[in-house]
Amino acid sequence: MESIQTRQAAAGVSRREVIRRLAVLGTGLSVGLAAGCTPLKIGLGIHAPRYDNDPLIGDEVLQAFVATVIPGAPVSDPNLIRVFEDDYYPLARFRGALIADLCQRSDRMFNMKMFSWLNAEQRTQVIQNAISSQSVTRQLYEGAIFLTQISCYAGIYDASGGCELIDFPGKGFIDLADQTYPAAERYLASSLTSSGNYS
Amino acid sequence: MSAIESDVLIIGSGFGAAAPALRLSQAGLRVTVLEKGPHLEVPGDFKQTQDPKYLQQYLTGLSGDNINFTYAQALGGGSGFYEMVSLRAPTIAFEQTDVSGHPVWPVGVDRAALDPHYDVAEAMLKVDQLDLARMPKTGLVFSLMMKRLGYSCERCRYAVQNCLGSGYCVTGCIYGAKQTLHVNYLKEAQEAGATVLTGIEARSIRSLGDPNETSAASGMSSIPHRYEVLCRRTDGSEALFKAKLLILAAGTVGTAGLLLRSRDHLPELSDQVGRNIAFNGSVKVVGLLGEDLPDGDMFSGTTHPGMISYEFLHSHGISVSAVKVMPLMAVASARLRLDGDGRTPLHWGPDNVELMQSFRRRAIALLALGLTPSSAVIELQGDKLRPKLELTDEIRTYYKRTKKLMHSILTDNGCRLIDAEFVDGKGSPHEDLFFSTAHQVGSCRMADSPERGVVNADGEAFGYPGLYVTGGAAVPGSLAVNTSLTILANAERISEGLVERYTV
Repeated sequence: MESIQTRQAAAGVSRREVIRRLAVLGTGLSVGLAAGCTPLKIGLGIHAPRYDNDPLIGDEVLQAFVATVIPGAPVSDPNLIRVFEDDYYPLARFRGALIADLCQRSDRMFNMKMFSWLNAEQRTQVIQNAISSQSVTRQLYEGAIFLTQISCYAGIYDASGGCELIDFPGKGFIDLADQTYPAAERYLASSLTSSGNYS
Repeated sequence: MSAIESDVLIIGSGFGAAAPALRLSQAGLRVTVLEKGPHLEVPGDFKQTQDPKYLQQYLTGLSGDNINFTYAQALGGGSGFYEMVSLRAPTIAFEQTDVSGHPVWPVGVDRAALDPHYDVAEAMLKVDQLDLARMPKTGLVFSLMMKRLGYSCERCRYAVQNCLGSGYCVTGCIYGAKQTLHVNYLKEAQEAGATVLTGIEARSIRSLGDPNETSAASGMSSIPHRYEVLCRRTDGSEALFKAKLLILAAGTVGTAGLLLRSRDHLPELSDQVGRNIAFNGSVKVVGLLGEDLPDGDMFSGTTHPGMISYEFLHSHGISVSAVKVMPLMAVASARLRLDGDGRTPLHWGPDNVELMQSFRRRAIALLALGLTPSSAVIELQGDKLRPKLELTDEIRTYYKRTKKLMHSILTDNGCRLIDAEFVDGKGSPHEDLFFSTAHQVGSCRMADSPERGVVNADGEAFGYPGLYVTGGAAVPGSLAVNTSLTILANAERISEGLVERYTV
């Protein structure tokens, strides 16, 4: 069942809008993959105001969300939940709605008023439950998962640090010796051209 | 509003604009270049980051029915943000015919005709094959996979000098190694007297009088101003430009949009504007490397891994290369799924973390570019552009056959397939094929008649003397390789004709 926070679809939040231009790097696969993006229409939440008024509660719930979406992520890193209040992304307007929905589902499913009090398996079930619900809620959660992942894996707030979890070194460059293999000739297939251009 | 007058007004500043800007300036004409996007100081404005806030300053996209086009909007067009791959289109690309049997390319424009202009373009961009000693691991692994199956593979050609292999080609090279148009064509054009203005969007074109009355004119001094272009600056103010020659090089999307919005003022334009768009048959597959294959590296070395295979050009109409995927793009797919793995959840949670932890060293992604038909369109709906691609049996068969071949390259090397599950606007997996490309060409293509295209082989619009299209919009067919060098070479060819006609 749709929660009250998301039932009243009153505003358009386009995940496609957020990431469509990420797809324009001309990098083959990345272009194709990034095209799969989701216009997200969710309600302007009538969520309980305490989630907006008490940032500590909100942060705790969102950290638990991050830990569930990306087990092993350094959840104490403030950059990982910064994306939920970054006005550049449409989801920032629905931070409170997401927190409220997480907690209401926790209460309904496990009689726990805070999502962050659940164990990992229960938290996973809460998110799965939301994703399997009607499209408005599903799109809210898919958008939140996406932003969590780009925040962590792509290190969007820490270009230098990258993401240790997936061995993404961030900016800078790696020594040439580590970029390639010695005696590279042994890897070469036969060649049809002398220049790389096929006539 | 007073108009700013030029001999030549060029809309756009990418590969299709750079050649006429330089050649016509060198020939002594007064040239003005208008770029919709922001000015870019190269390399100082580039950053090594995955931050969408940075990328979205310069890059945009257009999504519609079954297709997505992506492109840059900045000084230098895509040259600041592409992978630098600079290959000549194979002869077979120029021999394509459409469903009715007509040649896709106009008479006289083929590989042989373009070769001298490819030479010029390559010299300007300092294009060369990637040194084997700098070949990224992922490229070598791909070559090894092809070798084990008895297939051929070539070292790619790049527009780069003194590359450090930082891996951030597509966010802009902060080391200035990439030979973007800012450091050659645009710089030399300005030195020759061209004026380059940024943050100005051409909104509509109007002909002044009857351009056909001036069709026989050749010397620039005898030609009146034939076109005016109403523009909008980024601050919202308007500007008016007049020109004797108007050259459109705003890309496949931008050029079509401008002409579609101008149709009321240019009633004799071909009804082919916005049609016949080729999308270069982009098909991607991903896998995890077999245990007996060495590590690749998705995150270091040139963004394009350096190897391309023409093995299937004649049998399947495709080239195949490995591609790299930076974390942002891997995540933007959102639904990477190990083939045959029925567990849930898969695009988040521990399974996804496990996959992402393998991604840098053990994932391999392959890209096919193919000779698919020029069948996509861009329509103007209100003030919005919308692309559409009808999924014909030919396209479905192409996709199925290409994907099967690419999967066989992976599985015959012991790789495990990864399915990339695309989602639609409602967050559900696409119910049908969806193509996404940055290699769109056409929309105002060259042809032998207005019934089949918008401009002739010289790039001049049917019915509108002095109005030219020199960018990717003029290129009439898929190329099976990256498009930038062919767009530039064709623009050089058209520019040579313009110089001969208007300045000799």
